[in-house]
Amino acid sequence: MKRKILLLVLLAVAAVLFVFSGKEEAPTPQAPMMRERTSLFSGMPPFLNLTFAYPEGWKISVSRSRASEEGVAQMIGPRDQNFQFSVSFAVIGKKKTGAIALENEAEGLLERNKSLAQFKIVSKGPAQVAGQAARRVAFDFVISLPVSVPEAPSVAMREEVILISRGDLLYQIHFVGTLEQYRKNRILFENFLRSLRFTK
Amino acid sequence: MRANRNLSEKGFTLVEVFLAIIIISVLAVLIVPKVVGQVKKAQKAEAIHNLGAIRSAELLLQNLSGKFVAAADALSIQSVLGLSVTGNFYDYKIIEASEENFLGIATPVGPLANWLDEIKIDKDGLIDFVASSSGSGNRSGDGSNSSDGSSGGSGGTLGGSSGGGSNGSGGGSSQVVGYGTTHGSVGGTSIPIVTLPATNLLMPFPTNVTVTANDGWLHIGWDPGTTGSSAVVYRASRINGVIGDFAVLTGTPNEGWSDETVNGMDYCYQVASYNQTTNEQSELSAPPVCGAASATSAAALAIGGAKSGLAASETAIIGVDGITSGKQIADWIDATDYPILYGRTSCSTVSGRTLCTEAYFDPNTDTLVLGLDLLNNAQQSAVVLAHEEMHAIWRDDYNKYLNGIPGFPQYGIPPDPPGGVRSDNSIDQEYAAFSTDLQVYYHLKNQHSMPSVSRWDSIMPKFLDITTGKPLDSEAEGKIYLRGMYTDLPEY
Repeated sequence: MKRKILLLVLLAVAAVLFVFSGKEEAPTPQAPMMRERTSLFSGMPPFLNLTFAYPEGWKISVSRSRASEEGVAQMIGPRDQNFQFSVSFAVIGKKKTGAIALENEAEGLLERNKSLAQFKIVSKGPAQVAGQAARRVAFDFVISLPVSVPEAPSVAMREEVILISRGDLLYQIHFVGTLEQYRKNRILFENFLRSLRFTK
Repeated sequence: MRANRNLSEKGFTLVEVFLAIIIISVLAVLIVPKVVGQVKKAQKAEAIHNLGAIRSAELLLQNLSGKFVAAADALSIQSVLGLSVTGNFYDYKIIEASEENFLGIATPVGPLANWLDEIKIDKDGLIDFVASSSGSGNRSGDGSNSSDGSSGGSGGTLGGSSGGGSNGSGGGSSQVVGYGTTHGSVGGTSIPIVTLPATNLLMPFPTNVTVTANDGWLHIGWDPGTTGSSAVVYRASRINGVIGDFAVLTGTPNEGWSDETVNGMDYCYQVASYNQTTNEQSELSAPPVCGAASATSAAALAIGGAKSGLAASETAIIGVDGITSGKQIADWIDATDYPILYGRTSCSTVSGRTLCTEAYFDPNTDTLVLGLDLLNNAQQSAVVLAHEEMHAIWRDDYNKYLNGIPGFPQYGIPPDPPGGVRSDNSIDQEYAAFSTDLQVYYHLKNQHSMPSVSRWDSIMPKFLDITTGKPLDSEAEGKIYLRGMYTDLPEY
């Protein structure tokens, strides 16, 4: 008798589940968290002389600056709708005007940015990227976003910059986002750095 | 004993049967109301749809003839309104029609009378109807529509007598004019009559309609509701106390509408969300919000202050094609008589705060609208004006190119590839606009005691050398931020 009661109860539970969950769509299988799909960038503009892989679905923008001899490739990722700001990686290649010391360039960059609100150096030091000696700096600051809103709230940002000198170019590799975007995309940025290859 | 036990296990005991009955009853109690509710909802939808269509047609007819009409059944409705109301669950009639109002009734047919409720509608919408799902279409609870304090116009209700305001050709509800065919006209003289789209009473309708009086213009702004879908605004001219014709507008659906009007004359406005895919609209916002343009309105005076503030910035602006100083921009505004208004711009809620954009350009009326947050701050308005007018100067240059005028565009020529043509707007143009407004801000702050503005201070080091106020040698780092902000813009 107990078996029959158990059977009836199970049937009832199954019926209730069927009725109340029958219209729900089956959950979409999720891609494994750590698996990253990438798109390959190769060589445009020639100015940059490098290739790299960046996250699939990100928008890429390639241009040369108007006023100075520099080329830029920027990969733009997910947007924070509240603050209307998208996280991005960017490679800037600037024509060197003479001999440079990476350490001095890194200090100069920090000096330019130190007037940002609540500027704070997070880290700075030597690094190795794409087989090249590099300087790596990261700093926090605050800006008002969305930028076109008079009463916009202050948003904590983080920017990480890697400087590499190769040939006649000084490379600046930037990773910019709100602090939250930065934390979410750190692994992608490291993968992006690992994929960098110089073609000349 | 063994034989007895085996015998007893072959069938269900009384306890088992009772248990099964109880379980089935519980299931029935849970399931039946759900199924019944869905069926009722589907049947009510027929009535809501048809009553909405009746209301739209009645409103149109009242605009034309000054009164609503009665109809005893669907056939009569077809006859007097030119509207076919069909359905399986309700009969329809219109009673108590007068110059002021009407009552449309959907009565459940025959055996459904005990199952469904009667549903009623009048000119203001459904009566005592509560939407069963989201409830978002319920008329109740919207008391927020208001005339803005700066409008200088008159509020109040709309009159109902017969007379002027109609300017279309002929009467009847069958005339159809395409959306957006006319807008921004003076004095309501060229507004076409339109057949209103079907009203979806469950569609959220715009709220917080605000009319801001400017010199020769009224600006109408609103919250678009929760759909985020396209919205249109209806214009009702108010002449001799009579509502004029409605005109459906398109263009900048969620931002606002600039309406060129005659100073001193009252105009009233209502707004509805409009879904261009389904050709349905929400109810009109209510009550109508009115205002009168004035050369001495707060907004009109503030525009003068903003232009003076901009003209005070005489220091040279460096590195921007077509721009030499704030004063030059102010002179350009005066020379072109380019309409600049204040009005309620697009707003959204971020972290519980309502934030509105500082300005937007309305391409339909060629007007620049500065946000109401800037109304009482001439210097901040001047900085925003510098940014927006830089765009205007480049846009003017680009339009000359589009019109085939030789020698254009002159500004923003892409450096790579050489000889290319820029777009209407771009990251490059935004960079130039930021460089312009930050240089003007720097000058006003350092030479005219303008108080610090944290949002401009916070971004300035990415564009200017903050010790000299001049643009950085490299534009690359500033543009990185702009691409993060304006992801849809082309590079040049």
